[in-house]
Amino acid sequence: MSKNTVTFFTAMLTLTFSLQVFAAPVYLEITKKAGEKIKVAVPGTQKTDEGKLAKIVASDLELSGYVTLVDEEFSNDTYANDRVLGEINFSEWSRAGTEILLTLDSKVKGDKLDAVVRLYVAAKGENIFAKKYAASFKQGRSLAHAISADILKTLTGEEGISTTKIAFVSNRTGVKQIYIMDYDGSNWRRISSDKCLELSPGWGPQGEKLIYTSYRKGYPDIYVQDLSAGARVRLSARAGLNAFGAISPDGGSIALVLSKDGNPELYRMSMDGKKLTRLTKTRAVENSPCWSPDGRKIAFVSDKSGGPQIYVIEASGGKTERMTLQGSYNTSPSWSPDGEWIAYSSKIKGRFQLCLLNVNTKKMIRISDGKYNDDEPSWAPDSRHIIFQRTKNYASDLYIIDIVDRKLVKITDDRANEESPAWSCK
Amino acid sequence: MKKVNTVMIYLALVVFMITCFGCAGKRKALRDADALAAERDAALSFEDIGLDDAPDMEMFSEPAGDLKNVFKDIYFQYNSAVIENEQSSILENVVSWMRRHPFAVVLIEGHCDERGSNEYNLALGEQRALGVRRYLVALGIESDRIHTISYGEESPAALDHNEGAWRLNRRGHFLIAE
Repeated sequence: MSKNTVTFFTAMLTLTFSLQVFAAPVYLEITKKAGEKIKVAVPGTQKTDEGKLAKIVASDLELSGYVTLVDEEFSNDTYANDRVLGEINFSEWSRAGTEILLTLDSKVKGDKLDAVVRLYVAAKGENIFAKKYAASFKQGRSLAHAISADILKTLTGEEGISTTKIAFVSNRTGVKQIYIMDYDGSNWRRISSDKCLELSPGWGPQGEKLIYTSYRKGYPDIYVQDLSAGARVRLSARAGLNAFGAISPDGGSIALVLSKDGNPELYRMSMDGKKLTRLTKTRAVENSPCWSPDGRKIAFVSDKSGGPQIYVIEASGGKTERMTLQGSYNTSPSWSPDGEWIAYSSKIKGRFQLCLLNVNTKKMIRISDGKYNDDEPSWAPDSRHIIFQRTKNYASDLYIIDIVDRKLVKITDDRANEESPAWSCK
Repeated sequence: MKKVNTVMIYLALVVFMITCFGCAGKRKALRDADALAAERDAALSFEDIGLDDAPDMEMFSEPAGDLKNVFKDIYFQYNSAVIENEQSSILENVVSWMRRHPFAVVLIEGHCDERGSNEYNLALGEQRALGVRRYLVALGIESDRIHTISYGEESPAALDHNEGAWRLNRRGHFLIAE
């Protein structure tokens, strides 16, 4: 399966033939030092249906963290001139600092959308990428994200995060319920028609299913839902609390918290629900498990030393190691896909702040500025971006932070409260 | 020159000692916390009492009439599931009522105030409900008559954002099925 067709939305797109086959050099590695950005011009972002496509691609490139955009007005005007003259004036683009020119020529015909995308190295006028795309008009946004993934792959060697999704909780209907959206905050979709409390969404490893806690039968039970078929299975409905389900990276087991034995404890269960292994035995509260990317360990929260702290346990049970050594209230662990960091929330000077914990050295880096309450971090598959909930004046919204250049983007509006974001693995 | 060197050495020594004591202090604090936890566990030397499947939610209702005076809310300290001494008279009244009504079962809702992690609070709410349950069981009520549910911070009794509201929201709340 090609990487373009990994998520169920993009699977519906038809990516047609490439115009020409180019050996795609990784522009970033050849020309840039670590941390430097590529200056890309994305003309054609006018307020038309066609322009919208270019606009989304431009936004994707900027959000990737690897790109800065050339001035929008300059880009639009210059490309308009180029089109009139029938020739790209590369020296004009270069003068404005353009390193890469991205042209996106698209046409909307009825409910069909065709696009031809080309990348040029402006200094040499060299064409390094060309591909033709087609989709239905309704799928325009997903098409734009797929185009961005191809472009980022060509420029950086990595596909980036443009086709990823976020699962989260919103009280938009008056009840906290789970939604899915594109990583950039668009395309909201409810996952069920229930009118009950839903909490703690998490993804399956292929982005094909969601696990969450729902009170639809009155009590908190764990459900797994197939996103394309919509089929939902009640995976754990034992007496007491069934919550914080987390699917293992191989998709074979889930980590969860149950209180059926008289105390909230951490368990591991096979995906079919048949085999259950108890992992902790304390008098304390265990919660919020998350898997290491190799599936061998589980990070979780326990207050067995008094306040909540983050621990790591072997997924098969046994040895538990305390990870957070500073602060009296540390919660919400999320293990980075590259395995190196656990992001979490720590109460520092009365406010909840995002921190990164180096798994090997246990060194802690604070990334919040301490002005608001930041909680529930979740890593993007690129191990560079984190989505989290920020609470200001008791209203919460979702933000993405680029941990390399600390750039912050708010991705939900003030209409309702959004929280508990989970970034899809692909 | 020699004097300066001596001062430098003393200074370095002082910095070194402060650093050492700082580390030791932190380690000691961590050890104390763990020791405290072990002590607390020992003090609560009961076995976990497994939960029985709860009846359908529709079976339970809010305590009405005189029962409101028996099934009062149980309040908790911040981040704690420990039953405070001043709550014990309420629980004794609950026990004596349950003894006189042997077919009644209760559902204890555990709630938290809005501060802190939603997920931690969901688990803490369950721990609070289980704490109330343990207390009732210790006083002789059959464990299969006591069920628990946690709403964490999702269902506050008071909507303000202040100490007064938070105090009312950190609660165990009873529902009854007769």
